[in-house]
Amino acid sequence: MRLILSYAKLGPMAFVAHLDFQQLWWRIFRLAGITLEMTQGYNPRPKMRFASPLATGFQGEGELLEVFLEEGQNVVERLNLVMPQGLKVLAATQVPLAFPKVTALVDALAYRVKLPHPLDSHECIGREAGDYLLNAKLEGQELNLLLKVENQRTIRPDILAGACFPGFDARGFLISRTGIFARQNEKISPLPAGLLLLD
Amino acid sequence: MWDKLQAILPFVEKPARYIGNEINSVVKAKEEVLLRFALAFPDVYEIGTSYMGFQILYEIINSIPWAQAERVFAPWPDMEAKLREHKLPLYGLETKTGLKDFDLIGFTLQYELGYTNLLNMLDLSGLSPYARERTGFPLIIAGGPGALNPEPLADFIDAFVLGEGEEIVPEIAETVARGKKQGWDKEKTLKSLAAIPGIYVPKFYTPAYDAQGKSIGIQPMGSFPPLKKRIVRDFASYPLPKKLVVPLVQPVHDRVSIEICRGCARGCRFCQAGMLYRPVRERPMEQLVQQGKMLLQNTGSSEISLSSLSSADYSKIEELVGTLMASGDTSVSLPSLRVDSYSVELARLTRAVRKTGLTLAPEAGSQRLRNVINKNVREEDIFSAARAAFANGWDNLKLYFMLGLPTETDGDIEGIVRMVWGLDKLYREIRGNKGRLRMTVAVSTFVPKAHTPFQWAAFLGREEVKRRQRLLLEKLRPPKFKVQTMDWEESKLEALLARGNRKTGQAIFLAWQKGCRFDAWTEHFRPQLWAESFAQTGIDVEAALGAISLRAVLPWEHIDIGVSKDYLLRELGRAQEAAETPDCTRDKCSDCGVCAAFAVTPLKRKGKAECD
Ligand code: SF4
Repeated sequence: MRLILSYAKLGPMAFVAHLDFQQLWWRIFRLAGITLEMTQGYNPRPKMRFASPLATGFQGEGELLEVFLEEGQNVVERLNLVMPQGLKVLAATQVPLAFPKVTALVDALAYRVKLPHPLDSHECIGREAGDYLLNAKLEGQELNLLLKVENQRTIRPDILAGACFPGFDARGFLISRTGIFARQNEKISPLPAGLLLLD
Repeated sequence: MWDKLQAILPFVEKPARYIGNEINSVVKAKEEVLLRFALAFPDVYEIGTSYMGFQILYEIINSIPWAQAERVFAPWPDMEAKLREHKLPLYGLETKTGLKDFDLIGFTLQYELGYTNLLNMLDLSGLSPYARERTGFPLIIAGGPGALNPEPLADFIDAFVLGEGEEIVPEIAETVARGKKQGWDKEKTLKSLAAIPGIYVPKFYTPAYDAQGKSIGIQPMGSFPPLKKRIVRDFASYPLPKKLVVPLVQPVHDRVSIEICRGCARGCRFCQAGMLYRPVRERPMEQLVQQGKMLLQNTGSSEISLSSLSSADYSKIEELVGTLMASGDTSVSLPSLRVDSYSVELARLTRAVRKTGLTLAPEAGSQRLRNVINKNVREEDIFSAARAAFANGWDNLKLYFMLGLPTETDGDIEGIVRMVWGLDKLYREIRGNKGRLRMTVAVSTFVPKAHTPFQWAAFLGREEVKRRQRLLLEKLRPPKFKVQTMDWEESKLEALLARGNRKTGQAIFLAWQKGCRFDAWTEHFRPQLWAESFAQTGIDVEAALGAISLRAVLPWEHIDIGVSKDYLLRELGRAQEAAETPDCTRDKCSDCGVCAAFAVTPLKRKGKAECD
């Protein structure tokens, strides 16, 4: 059974590095008593795929994770029961085995960056981002970005924002990923809850 | 506090060390909490979170409705710099409360090279490292093996906790809470604590001298119970913790560890743990099986490590391993194996060891020297252990030895070389031309430790240690063999602190002031600063490292661990005759005194140990 989970990684959990985070998920499944299918081979691992790894320090408001399970009764409730604070499963969608890999679905990523002080224009972003910038919106100290993903390559929002704040250490931006987007495509059916569509 | 942390965490390595929020961590509502108790480990998160002792105390304290235990670890230097830059205090991971606002901070002293971290953690909390300069709360207490030679930290710690913590820690919590309700000041609270057996409040004691000015040891100024370590006599009635906090920065191994027995009766004469944790007590097998399964369930782990100073000595070890493994998806690991084929067979059952390789600790290269240190292992045991390992497909062997043991000669070191070459030959005989043996020879330097038969022995000088290390390095060359040696300077510091007295504390303070931190980490260890610090305090380092007169009053003489000095002296004498003393759980009692001291019935195990 193949499931795509939509979840949030908030607050302190943002600082858990990706590899540790992956292990944490394995553990959460074991704690919830849900058996993950394993990969074949000498060193079997649970079959689990993140749509797009989140940089350490970024929060994620609508992240996607693909898993293969032996059974899937009440997965959302069972997982949320054992989740540490700051992690929450928002929805689960069963998809057919022929469904595209979750990593292949990602065409764009949306971020919200908290700026050290308000900006008059986001021109500096445009120059730095080039083709990758699909949309940028400034609201006071908040910068919302929609960034293209092509061949699984994209550009980091902290580096972009850094272009407007020379001398500011880009690690210091507070960043949330607000959504994962796909282009309209007849192969994406059913549409997994939590996956947003580019219009 | 979180807002402020959020601003600095992006700039430090492994920020998850500082966020708390782990599965099974406990956060209580502020209104419920009367007593805030920090469990402080003076090393980095990944090391501290794998220390089982704190997992036990964490659960015990948090099971008291009005007490909140929180954990705190030494911040890595990058985090220290950020905390200082932003003037943020060190805090408990659970509620992010600054340590200054706790009632009690309890350090564990697992190894001497964490002592500068301890001072640094106090300083980062906004507290003076010196106990006499802290007039109010929190009280700083310290336990663990280091508390049994407390003098080097006596100027910094308000109260030492001697021996095992399960029983005494709730007594401490209750006393301090009672004081808090009744408005006791620090002095009054310390007086009440000092009345609890097993608590040593150094400010109520003073170093005393005879008419000639010779030390006669630390004497009480008033009437207090004897300074005797505490143990839990009824071991089984203190069950394992039901849950373990699961670290968010993964340790190398993801496993739960269950303590199957406490204490070891083999009586290695260099081994401090072997003396401090006596008498030997075992947990009933049924309890271990049931609780082990519960722990796996509550932590989401799939591997159990059976911890003890010598796991293969547990009476029903085979049955225990078998039962735990019968449930299918559980793997079992045995961390401290004896050197014999029985242990290897046992390890073979467990699968888990398979991938990692086999570790054996003969400690010395000749039978004579093994008799001197009472490591009851014969050449045949080593070879039969290796034979069993090679025959079962192991290609990775790690051997532990010590250099600089009392009476060691070049002949003993050549014994190591012969043994290693012999094992290599054995591997060829068994495996033919198939396979490739990877053998690692890890050589540490002998450090005399308090409360052991070798506590009076000398620590060997630098040139001689280097020369002996070279003997090995020249004859055991890569790529065939890998020899790992210990940095002499680090062992030397360990030796100075392990047998230190009150004056040593001044050197620790100076070293910390000069910037020493994380001395156990080679990349941070700064021997030059330590040398300056010792020089400034006027301590004669050469003399401190030399042999101690049997007539001298030892700096830890006032601390009673139940093992008699008479026994330690007898054992030292037997070492000089290269005479072995048998394991008292399988052979006759050697009258170390501990069973009588705690009125326990000596544990008897069936049969002789394989290697006897
Ligand atoms: S008193 Fe005897 S039986 Fe008890 S631990 Fe000591 S040597 Fe062993």
